[in-house]
Amino acid sequence: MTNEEAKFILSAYRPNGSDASDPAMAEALQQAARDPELEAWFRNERAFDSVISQKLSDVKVPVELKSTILVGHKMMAGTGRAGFPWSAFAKWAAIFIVLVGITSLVLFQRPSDGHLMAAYRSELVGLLAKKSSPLDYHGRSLSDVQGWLSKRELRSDFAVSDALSEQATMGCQILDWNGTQVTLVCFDTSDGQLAHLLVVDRDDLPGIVEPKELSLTVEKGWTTASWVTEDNVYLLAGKGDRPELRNYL
Amino acid sequence: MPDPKEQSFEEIVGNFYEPLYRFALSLTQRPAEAGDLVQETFFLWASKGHQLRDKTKVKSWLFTTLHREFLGSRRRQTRFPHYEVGLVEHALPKIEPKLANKIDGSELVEMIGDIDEVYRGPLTLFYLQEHSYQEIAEILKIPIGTVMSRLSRGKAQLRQRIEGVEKKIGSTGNSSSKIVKLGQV
Repeated sequence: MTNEEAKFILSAYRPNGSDASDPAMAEALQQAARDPELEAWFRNERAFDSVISQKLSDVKVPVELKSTILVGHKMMAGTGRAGFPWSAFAKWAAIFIVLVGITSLVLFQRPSDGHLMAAYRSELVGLLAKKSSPLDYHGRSLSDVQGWLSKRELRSDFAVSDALSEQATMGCQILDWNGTQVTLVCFDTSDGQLAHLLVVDRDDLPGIVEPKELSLTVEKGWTTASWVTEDNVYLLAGKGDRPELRNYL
Repeated sequence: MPDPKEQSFEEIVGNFYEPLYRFALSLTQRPAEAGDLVQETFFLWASKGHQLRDKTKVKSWLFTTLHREFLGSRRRQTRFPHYEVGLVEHALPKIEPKLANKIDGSELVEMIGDIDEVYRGPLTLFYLQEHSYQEIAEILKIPIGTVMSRLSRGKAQLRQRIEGVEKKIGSTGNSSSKIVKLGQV
């Protein structure tokens, strides 16, 4: 066994020594004990791995995660669904019903573009109202957020006004809206109000066309503005009134 | 840890939800999605766990299931590139452990997110230290040689990321918030 081969094998040696009794490691370990250069490399490797393992174990886990899982399990057990995966069945049944509903809507109602946009706006505002999970990324500027999104090959090419892009952000989150990815950017505006920008790939919303004028509405306590570009559909929602929201358009 | 055959659902959750979450976070890079993956994994355990005959394999079952669910959620995205199995260059930047010690857990997860996706799973499972390389191969459904190869290459990429931070500190001083944070650790 060459030193290179020994290093290759020892790369998989856990720093806590759990693999000490692994026969496949034995020869490489013996070689490290004989060869000072290999021994030095292995010592450094284990020290490095040990630090990284420690750092990984320092990553905080959401405090509510365990209780959420246990509560979910109790609810499932309480409805007698523990053996057969009724929840999965119910989930697929619900998806089927929704698909049938959507198909019916498309085939028989053919809503106008305005109706489509209104439906989309209403659903997304509902999504905002229900949102409770933490942000995926915390960043103080739109460019920070865009950098984070871009690095993960997520939608980041936003067409927003200078006034909005200059506002501080809190961060962003990737939401799932009936299987469609929605990018949410939260702004902490200079007037002390929170504003949320929701962006969806236009290809995911067939039938949406660019409106003749900017649309501002009030829905479920949110003032919203929506607009469409070649690539994306945007919804800006804020708790302020229409003139306040217009400042960022 | 109690006998796996006797563990209740609550004990299993208590024993494994934290490493599962860290594994999920390194794969998804998104806390909300990571939490969902963990919940989905335990939901599947509650529904199908009784089918597992060897109860000593609970841990591997959970990690395998979480990984499979993650892949399922990514099936529409770019397919993983194929990597040849083989020895890798070990003439890589030698990073002193004390330099690695300057980063914190969240920065580490971010750095793992920066390395090629194909290396993230093996690397995170290795650093969680819950599984041997043979078990990692079973969880990820890849040959043992591929696990070792990906570990070596993944570690090399991680070292390069850490070295990059060190160079940044050297060239720009403590001007950015990230670098200040590193310097404070």
